[in-house]
Amino acid sequence: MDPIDGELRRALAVDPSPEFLARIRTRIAEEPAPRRRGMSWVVVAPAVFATALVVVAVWQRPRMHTPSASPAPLTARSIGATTPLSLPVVARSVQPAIVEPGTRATGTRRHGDGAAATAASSEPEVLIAADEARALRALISGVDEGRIVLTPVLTVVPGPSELLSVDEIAIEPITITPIAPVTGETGVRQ
Amino acid sequence: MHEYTDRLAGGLVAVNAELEREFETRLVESSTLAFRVAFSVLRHRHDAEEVAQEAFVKAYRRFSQLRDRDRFRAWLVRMTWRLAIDRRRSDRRRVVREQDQAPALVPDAADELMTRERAELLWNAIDALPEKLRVAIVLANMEEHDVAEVARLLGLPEGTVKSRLFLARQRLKEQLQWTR
Repeated sequence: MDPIDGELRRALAVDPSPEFLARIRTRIAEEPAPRRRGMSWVVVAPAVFATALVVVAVWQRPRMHTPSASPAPLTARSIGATTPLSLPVVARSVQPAIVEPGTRATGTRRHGDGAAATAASSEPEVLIAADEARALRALISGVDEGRIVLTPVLTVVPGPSELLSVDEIAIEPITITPIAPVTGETGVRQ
Repeated sequence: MHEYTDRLAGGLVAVNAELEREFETRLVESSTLAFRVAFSVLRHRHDAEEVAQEAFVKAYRRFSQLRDRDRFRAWLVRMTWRLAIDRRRSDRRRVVREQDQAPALVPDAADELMTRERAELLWNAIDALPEKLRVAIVLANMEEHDVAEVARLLGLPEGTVKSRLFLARQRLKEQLQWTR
């Protein structure tokens, strides 16, 4: 052994006082108990699960209100029909219409158009504001129950009988007269 | 629900009791090591005990990450060394350092005086070493540590420890003029 190492070992051969361990134990006793590192999942896992539930619920919320099937196409009906009109209406007061990616946002389409009919499934649903839907239902039920009379409104529009018949339109024959030849020498300014 | 919470609470208590037992084992087997590491820097028994106690409190707080024996001892040695260095730097007013020697090694007053002088010279030479060399030579002469154990405690390759020990001994010899 190196003499320096021997000197150093002797210098380091120092023992703590007999009360040293007891003091450490007393000091440790004042500390909160150590937690196992892996036990943090007991707290973390429920928190993560609850957060995931909230995220999924918020994400699914608009879709839960959306009908899964595509809405039935609107057909022309007589307002005066006795059967109650059921509209494929989704009442929304504030939220804007949800447009699936890749679909057109414009709601105009022509009936009978083949291309439009095939694209109808990809069209966004027709959304009507809640107050408008209520007003429309009230109007229909009012007409059904006789509380609202639409006759004055309907009579304002001229019926087909008031239209002029084709026979009554006089078409005068068109006479075409030949253009008179220009008199005078060629090149003379008229 | 109550059954689940009761079981959970019981499990936590059991885990804590197990951790307490493990920590007590580490405390008993490493307390002298921590004290000596602190003493090698401070050379004052009371200060060394305070620093070692502080290191154990820190180790207790992080014990869930230090359950492995080697990991615990390495962390404890490094933490104690760092705390002792900080303590020494912040306590420059302390001039008198305890020259601790076992009374049994000193047969009479003349020998005691000579031993104290040699120890003082030795500590002064160790203090003059760079910190990397100092901690290596101190740990190598503590508790029968071999190079592999010093390397584990310091988290260094054995070759690095060997070269540091060689350099430390060389410088100590130069300073102390011990050629025997």
